[in-house]
Amino acid sequence: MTDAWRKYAAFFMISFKQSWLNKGNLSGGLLFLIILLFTYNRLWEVIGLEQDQIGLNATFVWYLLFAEMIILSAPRSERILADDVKSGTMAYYINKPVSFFLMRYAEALGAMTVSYLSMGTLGSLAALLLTEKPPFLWWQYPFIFIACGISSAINTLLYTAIGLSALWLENIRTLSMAVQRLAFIFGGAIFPLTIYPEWFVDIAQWTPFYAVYYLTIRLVYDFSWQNLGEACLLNFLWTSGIVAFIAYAYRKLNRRVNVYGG
Amino acid sequence: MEKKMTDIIEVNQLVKKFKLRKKSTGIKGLFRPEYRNITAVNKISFNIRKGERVAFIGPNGAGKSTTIKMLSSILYPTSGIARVKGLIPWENRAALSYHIGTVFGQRSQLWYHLPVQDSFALLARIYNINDIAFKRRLAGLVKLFEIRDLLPHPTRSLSLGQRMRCEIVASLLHKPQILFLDEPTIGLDVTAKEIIRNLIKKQALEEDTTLLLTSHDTDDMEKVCERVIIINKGRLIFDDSIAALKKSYLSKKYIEVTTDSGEKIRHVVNTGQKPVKQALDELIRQYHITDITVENPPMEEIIKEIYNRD
Amino acid sequence: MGAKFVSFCRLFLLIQKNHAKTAFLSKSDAFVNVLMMVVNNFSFIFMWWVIFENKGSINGWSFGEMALLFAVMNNAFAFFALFARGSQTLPEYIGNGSLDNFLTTPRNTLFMISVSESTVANWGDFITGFAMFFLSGYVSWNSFLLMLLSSFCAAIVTYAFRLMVSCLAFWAEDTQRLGDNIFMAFLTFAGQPASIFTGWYKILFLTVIPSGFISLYPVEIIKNFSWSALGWLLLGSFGFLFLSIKVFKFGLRRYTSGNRFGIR
Repeated sequence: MTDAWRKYAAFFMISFKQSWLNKGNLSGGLLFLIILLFTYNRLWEVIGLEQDQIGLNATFVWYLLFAEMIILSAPRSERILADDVKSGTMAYYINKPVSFFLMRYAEALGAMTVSYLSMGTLGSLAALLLTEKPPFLWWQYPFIFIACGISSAINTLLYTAIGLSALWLENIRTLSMAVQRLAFIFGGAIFPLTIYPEWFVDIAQWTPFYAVYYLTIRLVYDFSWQNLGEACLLNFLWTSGIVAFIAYAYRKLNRRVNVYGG
Repeated sequence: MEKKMTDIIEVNQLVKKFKLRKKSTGIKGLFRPEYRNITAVNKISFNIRKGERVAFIGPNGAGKSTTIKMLSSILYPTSGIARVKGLIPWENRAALSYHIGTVFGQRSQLWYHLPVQDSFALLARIYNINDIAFKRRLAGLVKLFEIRDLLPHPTRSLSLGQRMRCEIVASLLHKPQILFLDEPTIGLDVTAKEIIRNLIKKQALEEDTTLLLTSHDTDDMEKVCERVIIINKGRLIFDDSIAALKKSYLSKKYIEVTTDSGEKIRHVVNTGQKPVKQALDELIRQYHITDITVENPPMEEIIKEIYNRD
Repeated sequence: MGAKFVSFCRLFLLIQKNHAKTAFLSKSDAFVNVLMMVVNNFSFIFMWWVIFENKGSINGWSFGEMALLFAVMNNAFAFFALFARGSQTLPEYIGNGSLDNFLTTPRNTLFMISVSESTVANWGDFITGFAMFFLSGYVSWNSFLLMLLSSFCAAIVTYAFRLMVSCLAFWAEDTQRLGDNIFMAFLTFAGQPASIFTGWYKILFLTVIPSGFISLYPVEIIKNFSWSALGWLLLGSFGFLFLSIKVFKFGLRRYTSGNRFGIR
């Protein structure tokens, strides 16, 4: 058990190091995050001024920061996995003592962690400069940071799982784009769900995006132990669902590899 | 003066340097990257006459591809001059392109999912070949390269050897006078290599095409070309006919004898010190021989020896 | 000159025909992709519709202006993605050396690179763009023609910006995702109501990240036409195009045909 754990920890570490060294990649993500914060800060500033609600933009900027940290820190693992499925690279791993999916997921987590930490550090500084004061209390920050980190790991799991659907789909690129868009609207990953009409929120509640993104990010402006508990519980339920799908797809895949030899 | 008129390629003191960034770690490397210079091609000069078939040989990273890429207008040199059909390649890209064809073994100019003939039709348009001339030209090449059956198939369904035949046809559609081939047989099996070599040579002889070919495989040069230029570490170290190469470096003979007990014995004779006849006499005296073969050393060995002397 | 232009157009059409053929090898796939793109676009538009439902107007922009912006932006992106997407693939061509193939043809290298790729899903952007125009409340023949013209100019700015960003690959390694991110930032900028950028923001918006040529001038021209706005739009888009071609030509001199990665 501990040996297996160490094996995947090694995959995690090597990918962590590689992502850290790939400065072009890292700085690109950071630059985009900063520009996004800057742009939306300007938008909320203008909207806030019109309504005479100074301080409104602080809530939204920090909210947007954590939302984007979850979404942008996911590496494009679905493309890697889809290529593996199509090219038959998977077949080479069948006789090796690792689970292919867990290996790829551990690698994706390594890359994600680098982005998440650097975006968290630099993004928080930028948000602080833009807003002066965050909408939460300082002692709540580590809780929010960790809760959103877990959401980011679930988000990465979701995308890695999308890669597996290349078993059935010719082109997973549009699917992953659609999932991202759904995260934006159902998960409230740009504008919080509170601005949407009620009927829309009713629909959104039944999607995994609501739990994985919105419930967690909500802690930024509405932190309470009860909200934290709710977020954890629902996230756990949806994660179980994603894991069940992966287990099912994976069994199918292995059977197919066995039959056709990859 | 007379010689100059017929030289289709002139290369004079050509130099190409690359700046390579050292892989560095940490913040420091991000802001102040370190560079090191590599001289890929170092003052190379040679001339090629029209219709000559020349092989460019050298180990990995010797500068063969870089030279070919400068002559085919892809790269700017660091210094020196070259003229192809009287034009300076990197200054007359469009004009030169009508006279040259290029085949890069690892890069395709064919559309992956579409039938081969669609790619040919597109190339005809790119080179402004009118329909009648294109049809006539294609018919000729299809016959020569035996690709009639491949035309309606998408590139992705072709084997590597079939694809290479189509790549060569693609680069010959506009009837170039000079054909640059960079590793045309890379990755092919022995039979496919043989077919490609024969076709390249046949086409060159029929249309008096000037060939410049790079390869790792010394068989490519032996079977296709008449002249060889050897490059090592960016410098030209040999330039002469293949016959001359063999003569000047063939100081060794490989003699293999089979004795009556079925044993095979291999003997290397340095003909400078000992004539072959004398060596054979000694062997006959020594063993009961049932079979005997005398061979030149394989081209590989000759080349290796040249590199070592360098 | 005339004959040359005709031959150029015929080449362009033939390349587009080949792209279409490739895309329609699987008709259902192409259809699903186009549809998904439309759904994607409208979910984004929906988000903004909600904002405007809540706020009414933002610095003088109401949803009608936003709809015009979406019309121009989607059409512009469709022009770009269908006919000049190769500018986005350029870093890959530079990295693996496949730029060689474009350099040995007698045609203009930049033209050949730009048209070398096309993504069929972006026909969905044309559908979105035209639909948004008809929903904007600014429907007339005049505004339709102005919308087309400004979409085309916006497409040129999009192309020029993408090309300059892609050219980073001539100078440094691993710029693919950096470039993608800068381009995404440009599009994010463009997708905001232009009225929120005032003062210094506006200058930034028309220079370093020239998204203003997608959102500010086109909407202004369609809404209340003025020759000066049209002049600025034309000057800006063709100015950036000129600049990007210069950058490309400058970068091309540094091209190493895969050798940067070949020799280790």
